[in-house]
Amino acid sequence: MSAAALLRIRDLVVHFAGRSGQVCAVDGVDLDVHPGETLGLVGESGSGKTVTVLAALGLLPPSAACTVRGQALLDGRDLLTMAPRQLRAVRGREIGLVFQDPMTSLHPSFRVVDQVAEALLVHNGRLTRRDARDRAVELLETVGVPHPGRRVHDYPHQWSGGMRQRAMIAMAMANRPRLLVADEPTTALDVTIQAQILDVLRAARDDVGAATLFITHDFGIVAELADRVAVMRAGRIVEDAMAQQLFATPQHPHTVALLQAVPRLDRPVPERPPVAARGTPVLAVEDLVTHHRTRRGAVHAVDGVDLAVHAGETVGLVGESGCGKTTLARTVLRLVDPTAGRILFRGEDITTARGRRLRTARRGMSMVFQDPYASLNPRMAVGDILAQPLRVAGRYRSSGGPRRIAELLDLVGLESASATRLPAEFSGGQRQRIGIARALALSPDLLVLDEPVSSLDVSIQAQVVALLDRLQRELGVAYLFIAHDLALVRQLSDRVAVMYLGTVVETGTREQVYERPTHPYTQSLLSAVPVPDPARRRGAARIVLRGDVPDPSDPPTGCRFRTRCWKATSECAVTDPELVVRPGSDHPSACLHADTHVAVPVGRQPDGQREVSEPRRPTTG
Amino acid sequence: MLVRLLASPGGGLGAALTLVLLVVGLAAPLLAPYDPFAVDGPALSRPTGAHPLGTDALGRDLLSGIIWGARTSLLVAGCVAVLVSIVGATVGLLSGYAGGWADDVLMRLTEAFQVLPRFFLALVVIAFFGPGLDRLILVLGLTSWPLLARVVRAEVLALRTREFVEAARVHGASRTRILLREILPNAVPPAIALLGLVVAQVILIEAGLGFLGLGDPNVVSWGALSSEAQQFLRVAWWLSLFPGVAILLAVLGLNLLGDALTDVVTGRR
Repeated sequence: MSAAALLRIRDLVVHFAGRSGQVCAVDGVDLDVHPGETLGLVGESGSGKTVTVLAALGLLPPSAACTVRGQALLDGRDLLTMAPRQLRAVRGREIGLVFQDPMTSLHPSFRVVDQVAEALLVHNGRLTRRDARDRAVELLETVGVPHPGRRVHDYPHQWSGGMRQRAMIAMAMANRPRLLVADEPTTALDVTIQAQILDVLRAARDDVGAATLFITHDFGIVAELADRVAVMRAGRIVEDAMAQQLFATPQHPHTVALLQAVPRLDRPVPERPPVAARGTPVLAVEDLVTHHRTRRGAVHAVDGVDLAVHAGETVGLVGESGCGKTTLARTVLRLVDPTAGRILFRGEDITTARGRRLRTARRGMSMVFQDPYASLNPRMAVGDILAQPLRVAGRYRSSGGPRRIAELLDLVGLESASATRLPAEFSGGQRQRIGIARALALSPDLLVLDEPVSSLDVSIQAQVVALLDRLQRELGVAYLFIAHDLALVRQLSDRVAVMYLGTVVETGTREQVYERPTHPYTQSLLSAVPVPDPARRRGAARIVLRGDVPDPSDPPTGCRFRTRCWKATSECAVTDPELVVRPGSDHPSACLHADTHVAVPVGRQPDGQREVSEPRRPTTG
Repeated sequence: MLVRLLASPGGGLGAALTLVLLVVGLAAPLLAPYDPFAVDGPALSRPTGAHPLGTDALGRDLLSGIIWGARTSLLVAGCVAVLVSIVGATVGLLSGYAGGWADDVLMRLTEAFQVLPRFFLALVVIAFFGPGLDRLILVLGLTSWPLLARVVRAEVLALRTREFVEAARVHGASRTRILLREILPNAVPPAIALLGLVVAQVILIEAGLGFLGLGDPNVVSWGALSSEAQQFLRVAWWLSLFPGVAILLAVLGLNLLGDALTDVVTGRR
């Protein structure tokens, strides 16, 4: 079988010249990609998966910075010893590449269509510019760019991330390559856009019949696309098996650990402890509106949101990027001033509080930020970072000084000796622990967690989530948990609110929202999450939304979701649906056609067969 | 950071030259073999064992002159650097953090100072009030800060929306605390890098004024040494060469150091 491999990597070793000697990034990798096969290369950050592929394609910086040894045979020709001129002819013609960040992988000052045409012209000298452009428009059409003929004068900044990634795929596929390499092509995209792009990739692959090497950290995507899976760790391949087999009976302990750490929608979640007596909520938000003023007009980031968080409970806030969930969090903490509405903290109105009153209120609430690398002052020792909130409140001495710092570090599972070190000496997961300890320094009643684990690897993610869970049980803090990862929110939340374009479209208990979703947006979100189990590959049964999220400075009339909704009727364009309990449902939903029937609860299906009353929509808008 | 700085050839050389300038300036009384104003050798002597860099028309030792000249340069440059740091950092911090109309006012003021021709302003002041290091320092210090203010402001603008600053706001930290504890320490490295370049210019201006005979006659200055050397250009090459080389090395050193620091701070190296 290996004799027929299209791409054959043998004993690949990559060393980088680091400041303190050589760093071995790839340590003897053997990998085969057979014709027509899709190979998923999975691993956590730093496992060497991207470097392996870049090295094999000769895309690493010149040999001064790194050394590459081994073989990478494409049809028996070694790419590592090939002359640069020949290599360039191979890349782009025989191998198509799609990279992670669609925002930076297109040239900002050339038209998109011309960039796709360029991919054709480079490898075909006889093609005229006009023909190449016509062909480029055709290619963009096939990857689902709506009306590419009308967009020939567009520059990349006029396109959304999803559209740009489509253009990248069109470029990669332009010369009908035999091997397609995709490096985390959907990581930077929202889950509904990810579903669209995965469809496009799958269709493009099947159309050209290319073998595919798919690099990702997401087991869900691998299960969705790959025939075979290779798991990498610390520069080595630790397991290489057929997808079905790998997910059913993983052999290597690392694979087992990774698969266990992934939060999943198709598995039961641990029960939440019952929340004690209701009474005054810790946080109540009433009809909150926050507009950002920009040159093009007001951006309706948060547009009339009601929300309550009670003591000891977790409210999960989910939605795609730009839906206003972070602005809502920042408004609650008064980092941004609300335009209208009320914010009540422990029953006290803090909507317009200033000075001393605001500072007092802020001592009772705190925030954990998304980026553990940006949220800690790089020039402050960890002890000082933790002492900051105490010192500001004038409670450093009375709380026990260094003893309190040691206590906080212990609470989040760090050694007390960490206090004298700088943030740079800690890993991402440890930094996030420091951020949590800082947030807990004043024993707040409310903790706002803004994507606290989304920049961490799954195994670290699981540890931090477990820590947050434990802390809530021990300290009885209320959490407002903001995340885009639906499976993660499900693990930690008592109640869930789903946001779309500045408004809450559906809310209820965890069971209500996840098992009996009634709003089409919630249904499509849940349906778009790839499940890490190839036996439940949903492919065609998935609800794929049309188009992109509309511009929040100019939201659609009536129901905001109607432009992407498959149920939309003429009534939706005129009536703005209220968030109320709809007939046949047990929790509020802002949809005129709220119905649990359309999307059956995700993960409750015995196999890939799903009853979806609506046929799958084409991804083109 | 220091390792990365010294690892580059420019940074290493710059640091070494600046260090030499510092040591020579600080230890001038110990290092100089003679009193720079005392006549203690034959007039216009070539470099010899007793006078390694020769003597001037009055028989004063040139090496001692250059060593004491370094002290003058260092004194002017150091005081100006302090003034520039204080004014520049304050204006930059306030302007960047306050925003709004305060930012507008401060930035227009900065621009007004930025377009002042420093050299001529210094000339005018000296012409009016007579030569003296104190007024020279004051004039240069009060006109050299705009660039620094701009750099600090840019840093503050970038830092104020960073998450760790927001974290401090969430915890109820006051503006002063946020500015001094969270933002300032992170804005210092780029400011220091720029300061090296500003100081190099100040040394040049001081030498230039000395050359025009507008320096303080009571202290030795590299510019004044070069100026006197003019008359003897054909007979005593050493009088022109050595002060010129001293100015060159000092300015080169500071520029190299400033450039290398900028590279290190911005992560270009």
